[in-house]
Amino acid sequence: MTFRLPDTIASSQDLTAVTAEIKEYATWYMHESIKVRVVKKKNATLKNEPVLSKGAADLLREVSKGSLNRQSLDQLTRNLEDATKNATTLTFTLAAPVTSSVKETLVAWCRKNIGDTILITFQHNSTILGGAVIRYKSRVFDWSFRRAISDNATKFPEVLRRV
Amino acid sequence: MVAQIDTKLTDAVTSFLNETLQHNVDLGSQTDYIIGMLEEHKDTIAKEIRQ
Repeated sequence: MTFRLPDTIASSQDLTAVTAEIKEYATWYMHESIKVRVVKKKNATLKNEPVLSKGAADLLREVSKGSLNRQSLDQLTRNLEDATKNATTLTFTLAAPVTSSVKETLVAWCRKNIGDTILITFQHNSTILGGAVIRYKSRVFDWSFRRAISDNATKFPEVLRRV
Repeated sequence: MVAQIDTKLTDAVTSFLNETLQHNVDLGSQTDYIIGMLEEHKDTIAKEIRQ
């Protein structure tokens, strides 16, 4: 089965934070599982479950598919560490701070069309007016409204004459 | 003379658009445009990343 990051985990910072959460969760899970086995009481349950972020909870739900165990947690931790090591990061600059719905839409598109574990860092700069500037290493794709206006500036007088 | 007016006009329109469009940006309405541009250039982006 291929490992796919949930769309709520967009940037390398998100990935680092979720990896730390999952490691902490795995440690808690192992300790509590041992306690439950040692106590051997009927109906003994795991206690004080750590509170997880949405991204971490999505990952656990995806991996466990109803039954969580030590192997699946170890595998998840390894997958997250591999994703961190091999991550390709794109930087999107938008005209306003990214909203969660726009973020998830763009991340989902990139994961589907470019790579399952691609990471995206979002920045904002209102002077681009709209659209997006996408950067990968030294390559820049400028689809901003500012660029479109400046590329078409010489056409303005011609258009206005037709008005 | 006409050329000078055209240049001034272009500068005025460009400045006006740059000033006015910076405010109240609605990213939601731009998502389709951004996805459209990504679709159009996805092969180039993918190729760039694979290199």
